[in-house]
Amino acid sequence: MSHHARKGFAAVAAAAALSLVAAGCAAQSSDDDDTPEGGATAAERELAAVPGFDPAAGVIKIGDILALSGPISATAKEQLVGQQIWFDKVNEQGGIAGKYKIELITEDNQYNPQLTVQAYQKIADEVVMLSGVLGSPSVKALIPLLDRTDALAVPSAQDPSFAKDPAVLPTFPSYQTNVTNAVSYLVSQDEKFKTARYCQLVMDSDWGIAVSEGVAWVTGKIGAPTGTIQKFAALDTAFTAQITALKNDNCEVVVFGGAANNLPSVVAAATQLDFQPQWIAEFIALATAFKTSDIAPYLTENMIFTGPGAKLDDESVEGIRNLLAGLGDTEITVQHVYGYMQAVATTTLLEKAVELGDLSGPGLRRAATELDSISFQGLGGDVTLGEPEERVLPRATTIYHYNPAAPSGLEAAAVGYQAPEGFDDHF
Amino acid sequence: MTSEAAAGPGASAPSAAGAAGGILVPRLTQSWRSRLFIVLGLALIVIVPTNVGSTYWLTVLNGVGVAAIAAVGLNVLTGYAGQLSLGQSFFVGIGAFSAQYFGGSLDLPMVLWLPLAGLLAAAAGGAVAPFALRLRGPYLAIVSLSLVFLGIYIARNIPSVTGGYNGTVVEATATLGPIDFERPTIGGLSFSREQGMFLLTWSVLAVVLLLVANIMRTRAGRAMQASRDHDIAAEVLGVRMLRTQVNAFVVASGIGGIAGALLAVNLEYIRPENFDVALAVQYLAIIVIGGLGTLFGPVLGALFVGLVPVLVDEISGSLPFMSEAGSDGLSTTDLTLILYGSLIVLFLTLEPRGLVQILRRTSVWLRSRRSPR
Repeated sequence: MSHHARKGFAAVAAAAALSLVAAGCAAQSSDDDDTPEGGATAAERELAAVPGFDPAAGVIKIGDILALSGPISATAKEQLVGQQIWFDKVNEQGGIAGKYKIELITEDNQYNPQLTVQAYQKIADEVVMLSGVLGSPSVKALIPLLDRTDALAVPSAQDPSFAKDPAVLPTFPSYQTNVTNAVSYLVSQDEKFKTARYCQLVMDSDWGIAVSEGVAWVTGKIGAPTGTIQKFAALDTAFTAQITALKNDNCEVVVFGGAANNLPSVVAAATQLDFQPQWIAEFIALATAFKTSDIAPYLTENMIFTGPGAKLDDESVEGIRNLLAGLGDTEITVQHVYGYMQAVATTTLLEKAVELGDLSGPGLRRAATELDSISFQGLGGDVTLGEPEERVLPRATTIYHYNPAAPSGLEAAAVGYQAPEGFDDHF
Repeated sequence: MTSEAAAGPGASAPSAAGAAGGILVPRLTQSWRSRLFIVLGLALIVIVPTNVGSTYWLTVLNGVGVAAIAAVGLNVLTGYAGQLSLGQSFFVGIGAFSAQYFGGSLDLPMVLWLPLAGLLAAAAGGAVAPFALRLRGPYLAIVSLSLVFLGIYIARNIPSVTGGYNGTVVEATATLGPIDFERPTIGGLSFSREQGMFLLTWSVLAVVLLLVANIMRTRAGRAMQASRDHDIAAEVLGVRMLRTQVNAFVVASGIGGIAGALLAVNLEYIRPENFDVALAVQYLAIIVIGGLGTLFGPVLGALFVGLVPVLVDEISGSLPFMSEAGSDGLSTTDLTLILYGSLIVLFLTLEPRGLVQILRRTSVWLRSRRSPR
């Protein structure tokens, strides 16, 4: 062995020894037991400090991971504003249990699951839970990590698979439920929709699959014929081929599973080809921006939309009243409603966890099982909680017509509509 | 690109070459400095995870390590063999889903699923390689790009393996005999999963670097570099182009597959869209920024691409002109993108041969200041 090689091995040995000596800084004893004391009742137990909660400061920190940049940032920002309005309201009233103020920490995931995991790692030690994670893929990416750390998140997503996951506090109806309700609503308005031909124009994604599942189930239930399923990619702007195929298939109702950025191009192609079926669209983002656009008349004439909420100017509804007060001059949108509902779910859970005397991850999960349900101040149907396997997503959907004169162009035609045809258990 | 710049530290200086069977074979390391550098790097693989407790920073560094492995593979093909490829994410995807299938669905141990992920990706690379012989430059880049779209389409349509559109949770376990990288313990001390994954990822990176350094010293490796520098001349001198191209593709895609397997166990949830064009472009950016055809260029490039956005994000929060989250104005992500893009332009304008060349020039400058005039 050469002199330099010996020096090299000596250096490795020294470095390894040093690193192991220093390892105590970043390791913990296997014998450590930091579980809360088990014998005391909740009433007797002092609310212990946990990551994200300092009893002395009286602040509970929660995280929100959403796409603050990228194509859907406008949607995400409105959701964030909606959340903040309810948290501000709770703080004005003294906070959780009248004494713990809520502080919101946000991270940008750019709608990227990998960045979501990274963002959560960044704030995991600073927050007690997540009041929002935007996007089904991001939630799915996070669940293994949430499970490992016994943490909990409110998803800003409508995948029905989240309903029974202990890492998730579900809030919204599934995509399938919304489609079922929309079709059922049409049938309730006009018998002709019972025998109409139902087609689909859906994004080539798991969202599109969810929409298709809903259409297949409800058309089977009402006995309506189904037609072609046309697909498109998230950033597509040319829809002539798909609209031509839908028109040639004599589609009378088209269920659209796409985003706001696709909508103008869809309407442009449909107008050019003089294709005017009844459209059903899942929630519409950026509805306000369309009010003064050329596509507004087509939307008004041909489309209905699904989402949570109520009449968006109805101040008799508590949630709408609080949102309008918090928004001031800003026009209310359905995205504000989404964010607000997530915040309501979060504070309901925190109240329960404080009552049970444990704001740790396991404590929050236990609180979720102890809650029977969560109500959303008139903005949506209740979510049934309890043990994860017993949970049921809300079944009610608000159906909107497009009306440029209404707030953000959406006029509620049926608030909290629930299909009498029922729902598949899977939804 | 000159062959001197491209051949890497082990092969650039004729003075470092030794005689072996009448052929000049460069030594793996040339000087005590490079040996010390290697020793320090190996020590850091242990020192960093055992002393960094932040799961966030370890997650970032684990991502950097995986990206570096994939980029080392691409560097074999693009940097050493001169084949411009935008398809590396396809091979990384094969490795990722293979890891879940063999390690998760079939419950095989890591000692099997990790090599199998590399072998399957290598086989796919070998199948693609003959097409490369007929194509050059941008044409090959476009064909390789089509692999990415093809891969996403196939992955979406074999849900029993990939989970389809929904993707799949990765259940493959990262254990090697008694060593559990997901719950590592040394004596009475237990470490986090992220610390264990750092050890695994960066150890594999070290092995891959050693492998590539040695391959580039073999007849096959020199044939790759010769075909890159002048393919006709290389062929006249007896280099068999088909075999050389296949070799380059197999090695590059095999390493990509191993990177994919590690990516899968690091992420714990993968879906077809993870392995898209953006990822392929990122790998290309890494080897260009780090230094094409250099051994450590991909590692430096991965550190740059992985860490600069994170560091900018860290400091941008304290800057007075940043907007509040959710409001209009300059967000931390906006600033990160602006600075990140500007730094890439700046680096490549000032030193097109990448970060490795900047380090070399800095080293030469420091030595010239120390040496007596």
